[in-house]
Amino acid sequence: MHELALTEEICEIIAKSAQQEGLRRVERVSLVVGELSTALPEAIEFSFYAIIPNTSLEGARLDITVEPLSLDCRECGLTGFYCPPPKLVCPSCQSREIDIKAGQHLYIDFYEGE
Amino acid sequence: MCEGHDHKEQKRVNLATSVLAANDSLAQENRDIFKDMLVVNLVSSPGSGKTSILERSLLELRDEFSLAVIEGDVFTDRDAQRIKKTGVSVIQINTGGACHLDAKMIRKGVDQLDLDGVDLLFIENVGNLVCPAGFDLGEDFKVTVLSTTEGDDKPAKYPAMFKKSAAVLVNKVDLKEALEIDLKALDAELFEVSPQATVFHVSAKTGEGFAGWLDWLKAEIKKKQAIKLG
Repeated sequence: MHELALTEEICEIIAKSAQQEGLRRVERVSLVVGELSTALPEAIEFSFYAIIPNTSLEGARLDITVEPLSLDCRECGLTGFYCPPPKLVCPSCQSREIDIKAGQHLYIDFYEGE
Repeated sequence: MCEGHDHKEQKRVNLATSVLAANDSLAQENRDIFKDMLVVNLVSSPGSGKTSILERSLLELRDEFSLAVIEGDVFTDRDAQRIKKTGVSVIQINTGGACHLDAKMIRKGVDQLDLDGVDLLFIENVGNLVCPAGFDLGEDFKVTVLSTTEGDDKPAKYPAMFKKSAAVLVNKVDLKEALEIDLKALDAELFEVSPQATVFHVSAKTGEGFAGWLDWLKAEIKKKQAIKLG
């Protein structure tokens, strides 16, 4: 349940930024969670709504976009393909020499407020 | 807009900020502190034998190398007490509830350890096969311990940890007959989930397989020292 620690970090980053931007209220937070980011979207959501009451993020809505894996094959050069985790294989040459280009990120895309 | 009405402006702030940015930047600071030594982050489920593997590894390496250990647990200093008996300097970190170590906790531990001249620093993470995978501590690499008593199906169930490991130690192989575990099937699964990892079959109890693991570690220490000199 490291999602609680991650979500505290999310709220802290946004609260700090909102203060710098002179926003009194945060209404919506857009978060990108990679399919292989090690964080569970449901657990982040649960933590988020548990943390925000009585903070500057109170009443904000959390939107999570799951970022699917995007893979490159080091063997045959195929790029941008998908393979369901956990066993990553190149669909063209069956190699396991694979680079993960996307799907491991965990980042705050943007937030909205007034 | 009516006069006297509060002017409220909806604003979108594009952050594109990694949630782990603060941890990652602290990890980078740790990495600068660690530039003269190899740092191994040992991860696994609870009870896989991380501390037993450490005890045997430290005893085998202590005459040749200068060693240090950071022990991570939710509570108690039991592991640090065990490590102390090997004569290696050790500091215990208690997370007080958190399921993983983070870069800030490591920094606190480092401040209490004399790392001058240390060749190899082991960090024993909190026993947990999920959460520690997400946190960079500034280590050179992670090593996952998987014991035969956990079954041969764990790599595919907990892929992130295995994918991020430079090596996997399959521990308690002295029990393989009693457990009827298929080590070949386990190796095949490890290759499918974590093809980058070097796999060692070991027993911290009998010492079986330790020669290969320790030779590999020594080679990694030399590689790191070559970078430092080069």
